[in-house]
Amino acid sequence: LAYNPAPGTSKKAWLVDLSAERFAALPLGHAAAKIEFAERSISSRVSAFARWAEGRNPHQEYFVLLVRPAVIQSFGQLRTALEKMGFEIGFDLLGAGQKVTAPSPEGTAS
Amino acid sequence: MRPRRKALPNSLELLLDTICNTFGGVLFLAILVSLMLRLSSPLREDVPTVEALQKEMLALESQQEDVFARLETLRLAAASQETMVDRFTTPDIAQLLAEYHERRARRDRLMSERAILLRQIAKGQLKTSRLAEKVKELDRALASAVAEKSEAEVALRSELGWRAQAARLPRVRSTFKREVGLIVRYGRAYFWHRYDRSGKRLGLNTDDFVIVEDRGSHVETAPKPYAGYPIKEADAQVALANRLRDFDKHTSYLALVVWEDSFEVFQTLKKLVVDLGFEYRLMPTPFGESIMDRGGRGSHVQ
Repeated sequence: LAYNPAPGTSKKAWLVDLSAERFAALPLGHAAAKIEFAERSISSRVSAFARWAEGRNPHQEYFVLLVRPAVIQSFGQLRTALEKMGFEIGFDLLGAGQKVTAPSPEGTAS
Repeated sequence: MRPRRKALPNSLELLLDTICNTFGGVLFLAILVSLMLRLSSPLREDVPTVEALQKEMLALESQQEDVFARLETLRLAAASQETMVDRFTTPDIAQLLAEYHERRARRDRLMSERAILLRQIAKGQLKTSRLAEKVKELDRALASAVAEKSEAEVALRSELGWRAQAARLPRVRSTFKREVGLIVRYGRAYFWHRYDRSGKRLGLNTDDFVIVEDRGSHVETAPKPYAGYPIKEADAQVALANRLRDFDKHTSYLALVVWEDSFEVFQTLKKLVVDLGFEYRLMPTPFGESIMDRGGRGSHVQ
């Protein structure tokens, strides 16, 4: 699946791919490095991601959480933590084998 | 009066009778053996008589004399010709003759080589025609592959256009619209309840659900694996869209309860729902968890 930034928004988006193996935060349409969280357990991954998100700005950034079947239970915990930090979030559902593409800062995903 | 007894033959008569019989038998056997040997022995017929052999020998001797005489005549003729050639042949002619013989031998060699080359050319032509046929086949395959490639590119562009989507700024917001429950399991979408034409809820959709347990305060239900709308099937998508059009998108939103076995098909369902203009409340649900319907209005939708 290729996600493109929504037109007319000033906030920077992060696609957060929540899979059984790792969490990956992909910058959507802005120049930033991809962040990976590869802790062994999902709960420790959630904690690590929450710590990283605390350093972000909820007035300038938002998260789109891509939920895969293996992380349904932890998704609620992560969503609550992000909402408490004041972030706007959205979420989407993906199958275990579906791949995600984020566009480069200049272009669109293909 | 006593009858007179016939007199018995004496022993000499008996002996004579026996000897005559034996002699007759031996004679008969001898004649028989003689006849059999005469009739059955082929060698006897093939063996020529001495007289015939002598005649044949005389004829052969006569032929030999004729042959020798003819040979002698030929030798004389050859000697005469050699004498004539020697008499009229000059060294130049002899050289020309030698050259002639040499050139003739060379011509024979060249003819032989030409025949070999012609065979090789024929083989080469055959090979060339086969290669030309192969080239034509490859051209056809290439043209077919190019056509398939362009078709695949069109399909890919279409697929990408379908799959590429705007990650809209999510506004998880409150709504007071009426909720329409849609259960997504087994890759199928099920309306949890029955509704009348006006969108009024009539009760559990027992066409698509079975009651697993009635606990008084609530009932536990499960969708039928063979019922509902199989989301990946085009006909089912059309049917589901037509069914959803019975609801007013301005007064209703969809609660999508998606079980973990159906995440793969969710994107298809989401596109269909969004294209129809509905807001939706997304509820990813793991196996073993229950969803309670407490009725009422209002929730958070995307």
